[in-house]
Amino acid sequence: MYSHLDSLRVLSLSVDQPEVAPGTTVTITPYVSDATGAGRALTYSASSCPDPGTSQGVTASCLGSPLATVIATNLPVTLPTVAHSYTGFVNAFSVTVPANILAGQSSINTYNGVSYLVAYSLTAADGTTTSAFRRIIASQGHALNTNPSITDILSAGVPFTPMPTMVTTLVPSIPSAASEAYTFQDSSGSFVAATESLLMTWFTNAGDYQYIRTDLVNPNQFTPGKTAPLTGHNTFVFVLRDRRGGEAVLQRDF
Amino acid sequence: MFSFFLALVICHSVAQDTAPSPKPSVAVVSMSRKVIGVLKEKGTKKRLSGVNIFILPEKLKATTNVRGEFSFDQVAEGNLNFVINLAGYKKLEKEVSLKEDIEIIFYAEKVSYQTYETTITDRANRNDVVVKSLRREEFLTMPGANGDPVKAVQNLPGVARTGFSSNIIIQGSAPQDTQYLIDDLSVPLVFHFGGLTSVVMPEEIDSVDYYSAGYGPEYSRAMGGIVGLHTKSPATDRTKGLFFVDTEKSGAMIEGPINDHSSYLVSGRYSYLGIILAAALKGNDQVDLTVAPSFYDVSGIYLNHLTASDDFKFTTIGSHDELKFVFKQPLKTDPSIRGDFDNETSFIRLIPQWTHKYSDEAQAKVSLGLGKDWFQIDFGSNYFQLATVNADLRADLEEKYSKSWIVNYGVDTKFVHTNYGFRLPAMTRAGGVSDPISGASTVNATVGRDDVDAGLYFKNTVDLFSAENKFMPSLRFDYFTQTHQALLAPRIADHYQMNERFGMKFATGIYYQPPQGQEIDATYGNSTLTAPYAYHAALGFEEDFKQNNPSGFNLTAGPFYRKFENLVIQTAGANADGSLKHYSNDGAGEAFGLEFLLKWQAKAMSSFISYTLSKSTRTQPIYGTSPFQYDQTHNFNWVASINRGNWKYSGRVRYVTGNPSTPITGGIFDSDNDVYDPIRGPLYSEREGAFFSLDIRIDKKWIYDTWILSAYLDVENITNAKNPESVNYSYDYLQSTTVNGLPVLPTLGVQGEF
Repeated sequence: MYSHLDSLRVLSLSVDQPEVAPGTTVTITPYVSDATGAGRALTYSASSCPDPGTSQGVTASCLGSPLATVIATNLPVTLPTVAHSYTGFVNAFSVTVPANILAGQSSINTYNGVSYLVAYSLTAADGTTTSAFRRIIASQGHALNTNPSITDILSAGVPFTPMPTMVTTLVPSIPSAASEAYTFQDSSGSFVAATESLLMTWFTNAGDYQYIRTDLVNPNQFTPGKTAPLTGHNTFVFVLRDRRGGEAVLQRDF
Repeated sequence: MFSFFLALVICHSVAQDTAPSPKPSVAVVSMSRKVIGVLKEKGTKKRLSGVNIFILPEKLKATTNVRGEFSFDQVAEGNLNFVINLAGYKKLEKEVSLKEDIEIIFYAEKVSYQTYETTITDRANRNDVVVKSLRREEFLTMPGANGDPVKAVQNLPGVARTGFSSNIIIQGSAPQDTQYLIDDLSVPLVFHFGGLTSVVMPEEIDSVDYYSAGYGPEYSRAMGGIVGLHTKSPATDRTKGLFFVDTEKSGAMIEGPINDHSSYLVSGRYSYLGIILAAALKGNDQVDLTVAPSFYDVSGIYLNHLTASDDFKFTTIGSHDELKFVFKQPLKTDPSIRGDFDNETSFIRLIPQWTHKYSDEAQAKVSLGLGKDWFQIDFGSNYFQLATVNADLRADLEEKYSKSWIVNYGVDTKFVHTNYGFRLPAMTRAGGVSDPISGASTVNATVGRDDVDAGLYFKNTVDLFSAENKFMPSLRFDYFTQTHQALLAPRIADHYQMNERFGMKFATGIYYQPPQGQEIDATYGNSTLTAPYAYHAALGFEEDFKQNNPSGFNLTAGPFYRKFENLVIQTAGANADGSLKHYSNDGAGEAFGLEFLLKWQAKAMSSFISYTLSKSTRTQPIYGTSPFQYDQTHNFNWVASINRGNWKYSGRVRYVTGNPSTPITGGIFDSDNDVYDPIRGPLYSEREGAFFSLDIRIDKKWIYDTWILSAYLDVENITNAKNPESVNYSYDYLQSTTVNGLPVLPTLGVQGEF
């Protein structure tokens, strides 16, 4: 189940600026869960390179790229232990987007943005590995995209707390400005106005959701598991994406 | 003199029929009456001519005229026993009490209304050495095909199994390498809903032709082969029709004469499959069916024998498929798939055909395919909309220059004006594994374009060295405006009938095919592509063990070879300026194999075994050479049927090697799009399990005087074999489950004919 937190996985590679001007340095903070890992030791590796074409079918990797930058190799990960689900933000790292990344690009690509790839992997002592990547968009000529935000998750109009013991409807509380208006150029070079379509992904180790993802106009329904984890071990994670690289994460532990 | 003449006629009648011998005299009584009547075939109402009708014990005889009418002018009052004994029909005896002049209708019942023969024929009415034909009587009751003419072709050698789709994949080529024709003119699709049933009512199809490696110059633009449906000529003797209801659809057809030189046919079908599907999806929290899937098709045929040497036929076909639903929330496997899903496909074709016979040595046929196509698919923010105007021209002039030399000159041209717009993900499917839509670049454009595929051909049929050896050197010329290429394609065929039993054939040639629309599009694809092509070679042997006997074997076998060049492949990545590479001509391939078709026929039984042993590979940069997606080493079909009166029992056994598949070794999380991208292992380096299916079909007819009631039960996969069709992966590609094909699938249908 996609929503269920159990094995080692990356839930988000959050970035302070999803879209930047060439030459900008950004900070990436992975959001990781190893709910059944019992706090085992993990290491991480990270690298960056110009996107080889991940959106056109090329495998997302900086291996073999002459322009790759190695950021970290098998460095220890500091897992959060507060919630006993070993889920949360881990070691942040920085990436600088090359200043010449837009050189030679078409005017449409310069306006819409060119991807710079960040590849990230986690490895446990038993050899278990999981990999993730994200793109930093470099562009010129328009207002840069920013991350959306989540105010809270509501149940019956009030903040979602404490741990539900019955089927509960959950409604995201999102600032109205979270969905940004933006423009892009289509293949003919015409400017097209659009508004971000936010998407919420729901995770937990304490039960089941009706939907694993929802558009923001729709609520979700949570059903507690028959054998819920002990108090202090129940984790709920909500990841909001603007589908242009912007992300926000909210966690609730009970 | 009169008595002598009558005796001669009666003797002749006795020789024809087995009715009791009348004496050469007629009883004449004082109170005589007149009896007039009509003799018709029971059920079909077909008027039977030239049949002798006897009255016993007076031993009077009359013979039906061309309208099936007969008369007895002087018959004594009293009880009369009418006797009709006609070969192929049950003996009819009817007692009538005669007190006054009467009119009477007799209905003669056929011994069986089921067909007896396996009618796969080679070179059926066509001057092409590689064509195989299935006639209507055969495909309508072929088990596992549900009466569909194109699905029935899947039983023939060289045709690969296609899983959930019903497309015809020919001798190691790709599904898109097969061209579908109706009355020799192209149609945009041949199936409703990707394979449910053909877009025309099977009962109005006279035959389906299947052209494999080495087909003649009359056709082109298909590296694989041709599947051609030929509509029937409407009935000219009487008005008749049928209606049917089955578990998916219902329909009706009517045909008959308009006057003594023209006739018509009209048919239509409507599917209520959506009602069943809507019931199945009721309460589903993921999908809301807003418009249940449905299709309908209508067609009409008008035939006019203008003169003794001119025929005019006008065929119209219309088809519509529609499906709409709403994903209540983004799909679990790919968040880009959400919101409305709307798919509509329609087309209409008007096909006027004119044939003219100049003399015994020369004849011409000209036909047009005029029509429009509409296609629309919307899913979430993505869409593709297309509208085309089509004008196809096909003309063939055949001249017999001598007893041993026939020449065909032909034109086969296709014009399409297309308007289309799209916003689509430029996703890849290397190794048959799709990348998520969410992670793909989106490409959008609005395009209007005109494409012309102009074709000319020149074909010779020469008796080389002897009348038994037909040598067919020919040349095909094609010009594709999509690729701006003028292409010459020589083709050679030869058929040598060594004796009454044994024949050999050989065919070879080059076959070009324009790139598909999405491949050649300047935005989504690559406008600099050129036409892929294939070299074909096929050798065949035919041994007719049966000859003119009512039962026996017929064997056809031979190897084939195809070499594919310049194949269009998907290319990952982007050019330096960020534009998509997406398609290139860097692919190649090869396919070869051995085909075998053994037919056996007896009085009321028939059977055939088709078997293909083949290997097909594809080569492309980065990935190298790998098995083709539909490479099926063994493809075995055994079809048999037996008639018992108006019952027909038939069955099919299929065994096919599983398709190659590409293993997925893991997934990598795309944080921007909340999906995992698959990491592929070597392309097509694994293989799905073998396919096995036992299908049965039972047909029963009840014959009434003026109509026939038929019912059938067609059960696919009666052993409920778990046949793997694909692999379903978990969200992170770390776990997988096999998706099996159809379980036991019964179809029950009822049909009335009048």
